[in-house]
Amino acid sequence: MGRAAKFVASLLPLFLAGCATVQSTSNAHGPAAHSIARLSSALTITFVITILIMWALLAIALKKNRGSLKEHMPIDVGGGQAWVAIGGIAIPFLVLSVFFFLGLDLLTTFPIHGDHGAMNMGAAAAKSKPDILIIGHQWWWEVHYLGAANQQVITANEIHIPAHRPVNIELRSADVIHSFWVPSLHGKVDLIPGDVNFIRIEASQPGDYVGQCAEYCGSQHANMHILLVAQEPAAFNQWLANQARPGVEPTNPETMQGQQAFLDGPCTKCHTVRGTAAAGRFGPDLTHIGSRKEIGADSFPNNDGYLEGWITNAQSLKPGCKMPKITQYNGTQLRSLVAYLRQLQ
Amino acid sequence: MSTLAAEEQLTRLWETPKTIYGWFASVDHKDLGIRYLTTAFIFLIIGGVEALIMRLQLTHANGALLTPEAYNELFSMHGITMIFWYASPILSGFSVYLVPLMTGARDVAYPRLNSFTYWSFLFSGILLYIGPFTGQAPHAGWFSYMPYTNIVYSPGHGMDFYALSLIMLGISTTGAAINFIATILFFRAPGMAISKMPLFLYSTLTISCTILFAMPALTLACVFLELERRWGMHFFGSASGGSPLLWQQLFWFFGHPWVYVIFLPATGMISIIIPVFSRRPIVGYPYVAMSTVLTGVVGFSVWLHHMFTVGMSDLTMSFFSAGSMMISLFTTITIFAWLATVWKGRPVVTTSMLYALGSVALLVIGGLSGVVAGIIPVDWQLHNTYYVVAHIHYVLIGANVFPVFAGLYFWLPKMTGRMMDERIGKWSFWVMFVGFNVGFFPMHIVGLMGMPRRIYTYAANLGLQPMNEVMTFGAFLFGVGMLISIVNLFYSLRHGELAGNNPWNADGLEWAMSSPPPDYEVVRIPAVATRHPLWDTFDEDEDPGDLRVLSQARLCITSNMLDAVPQAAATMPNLSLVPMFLALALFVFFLALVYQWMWVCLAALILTFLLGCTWLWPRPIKGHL
Repeated sequence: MGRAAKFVASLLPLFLAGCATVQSTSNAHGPAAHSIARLSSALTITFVITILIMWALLAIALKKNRGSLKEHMPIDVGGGQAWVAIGGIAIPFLVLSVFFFLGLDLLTTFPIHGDHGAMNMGAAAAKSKPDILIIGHQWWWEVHYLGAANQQVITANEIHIPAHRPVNIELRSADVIHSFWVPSLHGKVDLIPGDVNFIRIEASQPGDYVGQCAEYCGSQHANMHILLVAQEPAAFNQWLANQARPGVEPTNPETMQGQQAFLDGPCTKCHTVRGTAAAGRFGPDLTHIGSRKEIGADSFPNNDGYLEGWITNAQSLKPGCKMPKITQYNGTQLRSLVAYLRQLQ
Repeated sequence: MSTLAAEEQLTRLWETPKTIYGWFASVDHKDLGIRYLTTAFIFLIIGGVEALIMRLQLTHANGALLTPEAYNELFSMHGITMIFWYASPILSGFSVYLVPLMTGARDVAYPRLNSFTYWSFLFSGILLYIGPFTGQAPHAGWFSYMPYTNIVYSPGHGMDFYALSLIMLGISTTGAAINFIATILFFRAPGMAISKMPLFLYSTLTISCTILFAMPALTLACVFLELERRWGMHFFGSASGGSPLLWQQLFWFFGHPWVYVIFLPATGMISIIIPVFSRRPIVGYPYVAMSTVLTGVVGFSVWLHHMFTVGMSDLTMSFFSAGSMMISLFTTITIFAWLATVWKGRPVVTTSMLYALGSVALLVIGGLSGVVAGIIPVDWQLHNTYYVVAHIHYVLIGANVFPVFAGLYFWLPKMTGRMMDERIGKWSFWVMFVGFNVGFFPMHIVGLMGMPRRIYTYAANLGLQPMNEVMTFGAFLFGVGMLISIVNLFYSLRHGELAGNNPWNADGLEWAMSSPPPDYEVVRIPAVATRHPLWDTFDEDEDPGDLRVLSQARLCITSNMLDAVPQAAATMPNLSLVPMFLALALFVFFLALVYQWMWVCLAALILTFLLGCTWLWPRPIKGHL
């Protein structure tokens, strides 16, 4: 192996390791993402080699036979047609055909699907019974679990799924176009107002998978994150059963005062806590806000500091977001309000 | 008639006076071509500065240089400026300047229309930039997807500036396309059969036809957008039975062919430049010509590949994926024709040649990354990530900016009469080439690492910062490289060597005349026998009866479409201020429409009508027949 080849070979693992960051397409943890990553690596390797060959040919062509501006070759000089026939037509035709059909194969195995096309067998199965409905909002995700009657839960931003089995997701939008994308599991699908789309995802092992909105949707498009938590089926069922319960009633004086502050304040206009009078639908459901790892569409850790900051001045954390500045609480009220929210496990 | 007498008489007929009136009333394609180039280049600089500000914001995770809204306005203005007001008009500039020189005509077919399309291009650009300067910038990208652009989500006038300035630009672009088609089909020098045209004319002809079919879709979409935003009509709103996807269909039906509009003329320039500096005819002329035309045609059956994630049927997507694969074959044919030309030729390394070959090197990357994104399931991962940003910049900078620089180094001596400095030019090329690759190649990687496009910031835990630092460095290096060429231009305008008629010893008709060409351009309309008039043994000026001097009035020869057999002498119009005022009236109309000053609109419309009448009013012909 030549020195250059060794150098390239030593770079490759480094390069791949560098790419396997949390939101990377090569950090595949599901059958769809895995197959796509494999096809895309094959494409990348083939094309990197092609590029190197082409650059080398250009460099050699330029070096090998210099001329001068004083003279030119006769205008009826021929030759070179074979280059066009072989390099320009035959080879690319073969290579492109192979990749095209490999692509078609994947397309039918892991379809995404909408109402725009009826002739779609694989997707028809996905469409038959969605497990989860996700509704995109500026700039957060509303998540409905569509299981048995006692398990119909509405939550937000943190999406739990059972691992090791396919999960059918129905996608809609409440305002503008968004796009649902968790690179570790599958490609992206748009959420389009007035339309319904479907995607089937599967996590091959439990874990936290991150993603984000992939269609430009306004000021806070950049911070419309997704946290997808895949759990062992038993743990998932437990989580779902807990989410189906109404919000935890406060038990100590501080959290009781916090609940009062919550119900008396402007919060209830936009937010719901099941089991209380708060039934606003404009913002995320807060019934189990305390159980979530992050706030602000998975942009900040869910702790006292960020919750206080979010309540009093969300505009400084996510400029342009729909959560207004709330200035009516004094320090004590604010602390108790946060304590109340955090015990909504 | 002696040549000297003919020159005097032709000068009297064709001269554009060096006065203020002459400047505004000029219908000379050489003046207008240079104005097109200058104006478009200024838009390139504006768009480039916008891009550099964005790069500063993205250098670090959680960057706080810009507010989200400011960033969103910047990326929108960057895309709109570059795609609509730089990439296509700069190529129109080359076409306006070069097409008549290459066809051997004394001007384009419709000189006053040419003036009008320039002024309306300029005024539409000013209209667009009134937006940001009054704090009302478009903020929905160059693609402006509904329903985000509807009045509910985008109040203010930003999107109105977008829609109305694009409608106005559409008028300009359509006019220019008609002008090119007429000139190329009917104003070719006797003997320049369609099989002997320079390849640049093939690409200009192809994209002019493309524009005629694609542009109406954009204009319609923008009219619908305005009607929905301001006039209570419903096209895209799902609540009232419309579909947001209608916008996407219309926009991309226009948008993808448009990619070829800003790509093909640049490849046409490369097809001229590479053979000249390889000192031989291009390999596979018919293949390249055919590929150019077919790209224009098949360009209309790939647009849905921008929409693989909206949820369409497998069959629909497969068709458009196949179309996208097929169209890349036409580009590989062209690329291999260029490569074979250099391989089989005797290359001379000039700055222009370096830019042309640099362009090919970048186009290879841009084309292949396009194929990757054309495979549907792979596109589901790559769509709307920085991978696609890398792809479009490799295609648009590789196959537009680099060819434009190749073209400038090649043809500026013809336009200004002075050579550009080769040493500074080569420095500029290498700095641009390295800077571009350092700035844009990592975008492929961050795209694969899950960095979506159109985000004003990114979280630290995604591991994207190191690459972004490199990208910002590369982008600034690229800017420095461009700056070196700008300095070179101003330096060479004063101190450059005199170019003479044919500094490159090239084969095209434009190199037969002096640099810069006289106002009348040619004493005799040339006759053409081969594809390489200046390399063959045929005498283009052989004209014993002085039949092709045509100094009786402002005259050009029209010939028939395929074989360029002379048909008649066309009388060309004189200088006129009407085109500029007509463009100005339209500008007032669209500006008033932004603010819904309906009486001003009405007044401007009446003025437009009256100016149209003045334009068409028959007037005496200068000279005598």
